[in-house]
Amino acid sequence: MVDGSQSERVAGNLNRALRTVLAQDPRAWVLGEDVADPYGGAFKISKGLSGLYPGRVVNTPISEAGIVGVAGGLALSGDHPIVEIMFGDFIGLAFDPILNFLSKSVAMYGRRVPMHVVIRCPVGGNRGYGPTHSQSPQKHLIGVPHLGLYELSPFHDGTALLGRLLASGEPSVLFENKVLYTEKTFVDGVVDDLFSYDFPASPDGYARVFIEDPGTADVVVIAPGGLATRVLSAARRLFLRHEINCQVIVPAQLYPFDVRSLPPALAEAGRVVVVEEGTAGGGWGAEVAAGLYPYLWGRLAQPIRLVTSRDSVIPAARHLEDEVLVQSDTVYQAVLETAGV
Amino acid sequence: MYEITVPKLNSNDAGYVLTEWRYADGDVVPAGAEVAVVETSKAAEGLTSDDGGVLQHQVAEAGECRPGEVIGRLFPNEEQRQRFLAADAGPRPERAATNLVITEPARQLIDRYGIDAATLDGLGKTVIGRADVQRLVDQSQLVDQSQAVTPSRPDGDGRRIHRLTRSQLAVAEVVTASHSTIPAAYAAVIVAVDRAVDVLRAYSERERVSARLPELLIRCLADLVDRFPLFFATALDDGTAALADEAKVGVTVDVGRGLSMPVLGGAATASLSSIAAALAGYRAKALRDQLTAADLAGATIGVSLPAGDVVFAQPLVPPGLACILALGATHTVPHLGEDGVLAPRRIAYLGLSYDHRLINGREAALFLGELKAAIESPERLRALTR
Repeated sequence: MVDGSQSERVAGNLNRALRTVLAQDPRAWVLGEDVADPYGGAFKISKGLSGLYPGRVVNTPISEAGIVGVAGGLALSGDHPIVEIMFGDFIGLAFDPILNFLSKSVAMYGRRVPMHVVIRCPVGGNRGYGPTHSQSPQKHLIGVPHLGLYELSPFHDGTALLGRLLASGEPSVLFENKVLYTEKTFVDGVVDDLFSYDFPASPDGYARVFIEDPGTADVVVIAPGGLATRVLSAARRLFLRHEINCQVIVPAQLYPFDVRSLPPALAEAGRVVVVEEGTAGGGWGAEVAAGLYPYLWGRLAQPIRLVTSRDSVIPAARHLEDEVLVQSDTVYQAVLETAGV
Repeated sequence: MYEITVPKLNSNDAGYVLTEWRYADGDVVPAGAEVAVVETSKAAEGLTSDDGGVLQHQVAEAGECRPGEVIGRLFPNEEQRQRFLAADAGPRPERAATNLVITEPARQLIDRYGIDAATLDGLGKTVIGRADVQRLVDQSQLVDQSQAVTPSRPDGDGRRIHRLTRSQLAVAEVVTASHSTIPAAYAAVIVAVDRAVDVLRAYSERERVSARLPELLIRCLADLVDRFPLFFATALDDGTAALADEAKVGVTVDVGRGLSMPVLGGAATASLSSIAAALAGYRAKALRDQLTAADLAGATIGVSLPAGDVVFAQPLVPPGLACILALGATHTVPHLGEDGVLAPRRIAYLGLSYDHRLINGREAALFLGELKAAIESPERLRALTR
């Protein structure tokens, strides 16, 4: 696979990002269950790395609390560990070290202690993996002081993103929707014959996907990277069938979520849909909407519409899983209703 | 010929990505060699081929492929590969050549006012919405062509005159030639389609295509060339008929842009999903006015697909063909079973217009009977939707 080429896919992009971090930063580590070759991680994201950096790409025992605890210790000692949680569903096992050790260490010793640590979590369903290997647990980690939440997208380059997270000095969790791994990364501001994109706030800020003119939109859809393909497919149909012009905002950083950097099209459209794959209730979308309401007060034509997966266990049977999780049609319907067509 | 198919590599992926061909088109691949690499969501896997031969790619590098899909073919020699390419050139659906994205509301307006592609290109836009077309209409004071009678100038007697579109003039020419040169007869059978409809629905969901009765009919039809050569023949003036080697099925397509009959070749060896893809490709091209002369040439038999809820149609035989089938809409009728019990049954009329100079009623009945049996046969359905 050629670096930066148009055919690069998200998994390859992320593999290259890890390789670059390990090459440029002698204090970087990659820790996780079966991350070393020949297995190279459950999703092959760390493929080929242990051969190049045998001392710093380390297989761990099957203990998420242990792995994250070790990463916390390394970070306290000034090292830069990157942890892979094999399935993001297992993050619950590491919640205590994340809550009481990694994030607290930044600010509880009387002086600021930088914690350069990233926890990577493959998340999401639509693969038939069943109730405990398909979840989107982002919402369970929202609101922990000094813990940044991020999500991989086909727009944001993995190398820049990992570099930013490691440099932030606060622990970060990077959610990676599994369906993204085999999808193509977008380059040069072009999605397809209809959509273009840019990064108006900053090069590592949210991606803004638009049709022709980024200044106008009928509806603005805010969705994390894992949903980008589903949302864009809905947006394409909405435009071709109904000429509803959706602008799609794909943030790299989920929390804290910077509402004020969002584009003016949001206020002008007055119609906002926030999409997440997590199940209904106490979700990221509600957090985003709570941030948006004061900012858009008086300019909304419709209440902000939240789209989530159903309040349900995620079935293993694909046809039932389809019904529970957010799909392109779910987004299509929600936008159609919000647009008032 | 050996078809290289993708095995099921894991139970979670609906599809994989073909990352690399180890050999180029026309290369000789030794038996047992690794010929391609596909990537699942979990790992890259090399595909080896038990047989060797001259390679022809079907799926391009970086293309998506599904378990069971044919990604390439191995031929015993270069000549056979070339022959395959020549036969295959027709039905392969192409990606849209135009760069224009046109919304459906805009498309309706374009159709109504008969705006051509060059005018749209002249807008200098890549995305065309209703407002863009409306502006064109307003500026150029175009005439609404959807009205049956155009409000154009009255003739000498004060009658309002409608001018036929170019595509309709072409249709008129063909049907007039048919009517004046082909003495056609007609026969029809009732086909019970309950099983076929259900099996095709499951197959379509699995393969993510839209394979319905027309695709099944085309596939079954292609198997009858050897047994019913005169049905695939062209009548000549001197009391002879030229026989065809292959079923090249002309299928009526009318997406509101005029009637056309693009041709599907290679149906005898094609899967239902590839026939469905080829048909969908033709419909997409028809929608964009992009059917080429090559798409429309070389039919050896015809299939007419009446629109909407029409259950029974008697098509005119296009000059150059011996017959044309018509598959009516599926509908439910009460059926008196052998046990005397009434039950609902889904049926479709399968009709055949045929050139009576070449074909008599007895052969027509046998031919229709074969098609009916094939469509109703559970074994045949199983084999085709495996």
